[in-house]
Amino acid sequence: MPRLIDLGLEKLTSMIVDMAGLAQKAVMNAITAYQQQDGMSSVKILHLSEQLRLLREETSGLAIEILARYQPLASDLRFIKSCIDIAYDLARFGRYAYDIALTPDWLGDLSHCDFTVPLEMAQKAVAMITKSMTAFRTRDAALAKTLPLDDDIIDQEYKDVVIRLLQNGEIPRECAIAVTLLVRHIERIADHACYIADAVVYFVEGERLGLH
Amino acid sequence: MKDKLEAKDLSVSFGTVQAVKHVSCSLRSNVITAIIGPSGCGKSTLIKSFNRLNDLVEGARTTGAVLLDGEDVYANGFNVVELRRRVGMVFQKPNPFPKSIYDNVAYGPRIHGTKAKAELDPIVETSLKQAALWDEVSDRLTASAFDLSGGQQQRLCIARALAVQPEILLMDEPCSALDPLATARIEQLMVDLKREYTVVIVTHNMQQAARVSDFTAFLYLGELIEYGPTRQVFERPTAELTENYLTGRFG
Repeated sequence: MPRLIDLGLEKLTSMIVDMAGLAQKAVMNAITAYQQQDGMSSVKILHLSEQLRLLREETSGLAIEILARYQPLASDLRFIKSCIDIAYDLARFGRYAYDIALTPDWLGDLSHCDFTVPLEMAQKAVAMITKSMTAFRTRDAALAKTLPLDDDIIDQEYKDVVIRLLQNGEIPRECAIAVTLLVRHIERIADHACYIADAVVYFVEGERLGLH
Repeated sequence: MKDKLEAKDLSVSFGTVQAVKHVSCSLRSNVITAIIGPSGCGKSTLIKSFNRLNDLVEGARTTGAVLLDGEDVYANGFNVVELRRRVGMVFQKPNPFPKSIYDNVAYGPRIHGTKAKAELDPIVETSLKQAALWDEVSDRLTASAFDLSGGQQQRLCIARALAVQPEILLMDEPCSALDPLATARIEQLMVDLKREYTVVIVTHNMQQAARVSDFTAFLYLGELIEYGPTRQVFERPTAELTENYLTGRFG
């Protein structure tokens, strides 16, 4: 027999899935804008980011309502806590996407810069978002546990890029700044995909990944 | 925290019905332990075995052991009257005696030999203060206990239990007949009392167990399914039965 709380939990799940769609779209658009030097994209991404912020507030509101109405325990309680955390992570994706889109606005023409490595990293980060949300939808803790390994790769690439930029004085300053900002935002996006994975493992198994 | 009470392979039967099955657990001193579980799972029978109240039920048979400070309360020659002084009980419905407020609290000490008013007065005052009732009744101690509200009557029953200086307070659904405000007062009282007493509460209200208890035991069909720190049991239960009970997926 379905429980009264199930209606609320299903709605919460659906809101998180909707947010994930918007967050992925925001990040993808931001990266495409970088590739295409689309100066108009930041306005569109700001709109997506704002939608994510509002959805996060709605998600938190629904989570609080479910807590107040049903006073859930055990896996229900863990799921709600995870949804609150995941909604925050998804909203952060929107914010990082906006920050990525803003960079060309600040720094002007970047068409002469080489974004090959950062854009490869971005594809990996987007894949991490997809993987983390697949783990969420399918409640697959084993899949979620693979995210920190993906994150280690992004972290290493981030460090490598920054060191290369430090060591190569011939790269134009605006390109060095743009690449640094881009890889930094990508590295943070990967971190938040890991936090989502952590939240999935928590609500499925009651344990934490022990991320730092 | 030392263990105050320990059940060892404890079973209780009434005729052919086994209400508690091979329960083993240690209850720590100066904490609140909640016992939860569906109706008929043996919660009340279990706590009544701690001060041998089941002995009063015809056909009741207890096996195993209950150790109070290491001593088996079911051992031959164990003083049951003294046991019930050390392990007091508060029941589901407030059950004050048809006497004055003062005489309700003084009843236990009188039975145990304290007769002089000069000795009883401070006991009554202290017990009523410990039960957070003194301020409400100090000017009408001779009034009938039945003049009190339900919540006040329950606190009077707690004061009555405290008057004989118990070490453990067993509470069998002490708030089930009370409104939310009276419930909140009793819950606050429980938390205050654990500084001096070991408290065991049987409750159907899982939120109440979550609010007040330090440890939680989950019973099902007379068996102890899970026992551990309340946060762990309510957030990350290890047994599937506990998970299903806490999330309302039973049956």
